[in-house]
Order: sequence, then structure tokens, then C-alpha cells
Amino acid sequence: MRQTNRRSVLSGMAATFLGAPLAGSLVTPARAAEGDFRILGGAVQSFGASIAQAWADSHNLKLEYISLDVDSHHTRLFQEASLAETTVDVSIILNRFLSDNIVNLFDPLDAYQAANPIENLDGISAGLRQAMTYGGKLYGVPFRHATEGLHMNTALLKERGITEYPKTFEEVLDYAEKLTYKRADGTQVSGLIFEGPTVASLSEYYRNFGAEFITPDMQVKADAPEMIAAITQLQKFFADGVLPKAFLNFVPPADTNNLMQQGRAAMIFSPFGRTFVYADSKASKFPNDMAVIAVPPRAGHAAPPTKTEFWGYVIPKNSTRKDLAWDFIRYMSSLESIVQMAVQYGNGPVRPAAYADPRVQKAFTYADAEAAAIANATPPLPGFPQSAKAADYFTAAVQSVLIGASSAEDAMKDVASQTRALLKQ
Amino acid sequence: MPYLLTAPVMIMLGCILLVPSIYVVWMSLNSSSFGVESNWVGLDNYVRILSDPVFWRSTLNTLIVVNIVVYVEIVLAICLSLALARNVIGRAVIISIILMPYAVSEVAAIVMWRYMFEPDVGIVNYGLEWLGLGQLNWVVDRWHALFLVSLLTIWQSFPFTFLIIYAAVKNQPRETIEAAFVDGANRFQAFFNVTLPAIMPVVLVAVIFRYIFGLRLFSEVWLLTQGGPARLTEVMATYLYRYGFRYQDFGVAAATALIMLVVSLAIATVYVRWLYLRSSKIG
Repeated sequence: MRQTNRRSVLSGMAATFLGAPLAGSLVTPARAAEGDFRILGGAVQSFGASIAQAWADSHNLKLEYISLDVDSHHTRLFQEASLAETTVDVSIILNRFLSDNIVNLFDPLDAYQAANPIENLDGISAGLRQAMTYGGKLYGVPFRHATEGLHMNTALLKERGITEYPKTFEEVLDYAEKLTYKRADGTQVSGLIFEGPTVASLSEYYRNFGAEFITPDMQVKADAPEMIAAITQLQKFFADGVLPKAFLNFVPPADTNNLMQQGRAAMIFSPFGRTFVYADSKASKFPNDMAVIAVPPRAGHAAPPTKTEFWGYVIPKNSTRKDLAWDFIRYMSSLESIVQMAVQYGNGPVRPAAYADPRVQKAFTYADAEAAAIANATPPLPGFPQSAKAADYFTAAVQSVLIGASSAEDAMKDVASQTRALLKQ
Repeated sequence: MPYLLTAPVMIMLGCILLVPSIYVVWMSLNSSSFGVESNWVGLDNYVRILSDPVFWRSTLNTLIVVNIVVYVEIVLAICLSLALARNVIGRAVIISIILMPYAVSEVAAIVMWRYMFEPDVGIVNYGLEWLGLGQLNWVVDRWHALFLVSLLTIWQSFPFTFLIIYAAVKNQPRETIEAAFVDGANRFQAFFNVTLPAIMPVVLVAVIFRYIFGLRLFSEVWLLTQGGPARLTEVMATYLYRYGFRYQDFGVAAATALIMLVVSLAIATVYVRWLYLRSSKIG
């Protein structure tokens, strides 16, 4: 089969119409100013601006950030990295967007590490590094994670006469029902919510039933009895009002933040760091009543892997100042930078050693719980080219069960067969 | 000489329209994504789309919403234009109110509607419940969701349809109506035999425009339901977006775009032909 390159077709057509010189200029991006260092990723600015600025100052560079929402960020990144040359020096990537195909757009980092090593690279959580390793090569250096915990509004717990945090997952489910009630002021409270009916939002929940959608060795387990039990329980919660109707199409995290801040939800599975948002005194009715713990495991069972998602730095294959980019990554991923980002910006530290730092201990009341969770954390799905499609199959199936259009057994059987077919492609 | 003078425009049009169009056609015949070389797959992308039940449901949803939106807008616009063509008290204010939705940012308006119709605490759903009318269960029920999408689309795009038809009604010579009344016609006869035929070419233009815009229906559905629950409210444009930007499967996305183009052209052709025949008859 003949291999054709998209750019060659575009250039050919443009050359036909415009002549070769102009066609060439169509596919060559404008050069950034010499003193600018272009970072594709607003999260670097939001969670480490002052640290990045210190690096830039030492190199006499001006930082230029390109900030977009998650989907647009990755579309832009992949477009930039597909050009003949890009002016983006370094970018960040969310773990779930990396796959066997996508890594072709980035430089493997092992050679840079051999030549000019990051201090104690092995100190970054192994699970996170592993998720950015393809074909034995490291393509990204993790820099911030969002690992899931169980958040509770303790004022609502007290109203229902609950004085202790749940110790088992069974107790979490029991509390969810007890915490579904109407408050004295008429506010309807949902006992337990998630950020949406998606793999990313539900994986912590179904893992505690002993279920998994796709295992790290690419086995599809969506139709296993444990998953069916989890989805059946979810259906019961939806029917009983433990989950609000709007759960079907939550816009995360805005909708769920609002529910927690207004006391319309009592518990939620979401990243530990979100506690600062739920307790934000400018927006929350309960600024002093938010608590977060690691999700307790089922009685008599070991804790399953905690769900985490994380950002890592990558260097586009077509960028022109790769050594400079690597120097930036080295600086930003050192233990001190990771600690600073945690303390100053509430960033989830990817180095477990950071949690032992007194500054982090002081800044995060949940430091020990998060440290324990991240030590055994994995992403909700392994990275593969069709993962977005598989995730959509899952969401559609869960929605179909919740609206009563199909049974949990049938829906999850369908998802499993669709996903297996997808993995064969 | 004339060719030389028009050459810059033709080259520009070639670059803006022709090159991208050829590129999309080429892409629809390839398997194409980021990080991999494109592979020639012939008509496989079209076969995949046409054998996907979700695509057919998306097409059906699009046609249902577009037909509701276009015809409700046209009927409402004609009725309001006739009423406002007379010397109604507060006409300028009423017209300003009708035009207001056009001044609101599309995304802001949809988000606003989403919160007003929120199933648990939305003010409109609360009001409906209070009146004993039950809730609009748009997050759960496909038909309720499509109804809400239609309502929102009508609210947003009605000013466009109204302006076109109102201008036509206002431009109709007063003498023709008066002549009809002199000949003994009542109001309905005057409307159906004089006014409507006179404004029909404009109505058809409005219909063509609204069909073409309507078939591209995207943000109302994406921001309200994202095509859910269970992809039951997906429309053609969200189907395309999902393949293009979520799955990065550009071959299928390009093929979907071309199918949408064919559907738009087919509908436009019917109305343009009708318009042409009417003009020929009148001419």
C-alpha cells in the first residue's frame, strides 16, 4: 500500500496554485523572537510560574506561554509537532493523550538523560514514569498529578449523625444513602457524586468493586461480574437520588465544585487538591467543613490501585532548541522545584520524597494520605491510540444503564465486545 | 487581459476554497491521524460511516431539529411580521426585543439556558414543576433534549429569519392588498392570494439559508448534552467533531463532512429549483 504524506499533498496542491516559493512558506511557521522560550501549556504557568521564571531569568530568556483548554491544547500540540518545524520549545501532555502513535511526534528522552541527567529521575513515581514509557523509551517527564481521594462535607455528616469517617468502601456506599436527604432550608443533598459518567471519573469507584475496564496488559474486563456489580449499584444510586439527575452530563469540574461548595453534595471522589476549591471561602458555604481522605478499601481486601492522571513534559521532535528544552525540564523536575510548586501552587508532587518535606506537610493537611495513594496509583486507562473511543463506549453504556435503556449486563457486554474489536484494529 | 485582471481573485479563491476542498476529499479516502503516515483506504471511511447506526441516528436527529426549527421560525416570522407591519404601539421596542438574542454570545446563551433548565435546581424546570406541568427531562430523555435544542436554536436564530421576512412584508406595495380588498377578498384570502405569493421568493431564500445553517447545528447540542445520554442526541456536526477532534480520525471526519455537504446541497437544490421555477412562472 502506498504511503502518502499529508503535508506532501498539501504542499503539492499549494505549489500548483501558488508556485513553489509561496507553498514553502505555507508550511514553515514564523520564528519566535530569539529571547523567547515558548511553552505550550497553561498548567506550567498556573502551577509553577515563579519556578519557571527563575529558570528563564538565569538563561536571560522571556517565557511565552500558550494556554488552551485540555482538548484544544492537545490538538494544537499535535498540529505543531506534525509540522516541518515548530517554534514551541517544550510542551506538556496529559497521560491519556500519549499513545504508540503519538509518541512518534516526540523525542525519546533517554539520550538527554544519559548526557545530562535529571537529579534522581527514579525518585519520580514509577507508575507515572511507566505510563510515559513506550517501547522501553521514556517520552515524557511527569510534573504534576491529580490523584483521587474521598472528599466529605463534615457539616453534612454531622447533620446526619455521622461522627466518623468511613473505614471501608462498604461504609462509603452506606454513608452515600444516609447522606441523601433534604436539609432544613430545603436544599436537596446528594450523598455521593462523581465528576461524570466517564472512565476517568468512575475508575476509582469501580476499582473498589475489584473491577477494571482495560488492564495494563490490555485485557478488556468491562463485562466482568465486578464491573456489572459496580454499574448496577450506580444505577441504584441514580434511581434513589443519591446521584443527581444532572450527573448524566456534568461539566467537570465546574458543576461538581458548585455542588460541593453549596452543600448540595456531601461526598465526592475527586483529586485531593480539589479540597482547596471546595473550601474556598469566596465561593463555598462550608469553608471550614471540608475533609479529604484516601478512599478506604473493601473490608478484607487490599486497596486497589488509586486512580491518577498526570501531566508530563515532552519535547516535540521538530523543535529547534531541544537542549534548552531539556535543561528546562531538568530544572522543573528537580525535588526542590517539585516542592516549590506544591507549596506555592498546591501542585500534586510527582516525587514521593516531596511529601516528607516539612513545607509540604505544613501546606497539605492530606499530605500523608496522598503520599500513600500516589505510591499505588495508575491512570484509568492504559495509553493506546483508540483510548478516547473506548472511553466514549464506556460513557455511553453507563448513561444507557442509568436512563433505563439497557441493563448493566447487556450494556457492559456491548462495551466489552466493542472495545475488544477496537483493540484488534 | 480580463483573465489577468481577475487572476488574483481566482488564485485567492483557489487557495481558500479549492485547495482545502480537494484536500478534504483526499483525506476522506485515507486513514489519517497524528503521528502516523496516511494510508489509502478508498471508500472504507464512507462504508464505516454509512454502516454506523449512530451516524444514521445523528442524521435523523439533525433532520428532525432542522425541520422543526426552520418551519417554526418561518411561520412565527411571517405572523410577527404581518402584525408588526401595521402601526402597532411599541413596535420599535418589540422589534428590539426580538433582535436581542442575536446580540448575545452563542456560547454564553447556551450555558445560560443549560443552567435555567438544570434538572435539579434550574429555574425554568422549577417553575414548570410548580405549575404542575412536570419537568423537561432533557438530561435523561432523548426527545425532551431534542425539543430543548430546537427551542434554544429557534430563540437564537429567529432574529435572522424575522429580519428577512419582515423586510419583504414591509416592501410589499400597499396598493396590491387594497386592490384585493376592493375585489371583495377577506383578510385570509388577501394573505394567501396576494401577500404570501409576493413574499414567497424571500421566504424560500430564508428557508435555504436556515437549512444550510441548521445542518451545521453543533454548539447547542455539544454544550447542552455532548450528544448524550448514550449518544441519543448526537447530530451530524457533533459526530464529525467527535471523530475529528476527540478520536483524531481525520479520514472519517472528512468523509462525514463531505456527506454533510451532499445533504446540504441536495436540500438546497430542491428549494433553489423551486425558487427558479416560481421566478420563471412569474417572469
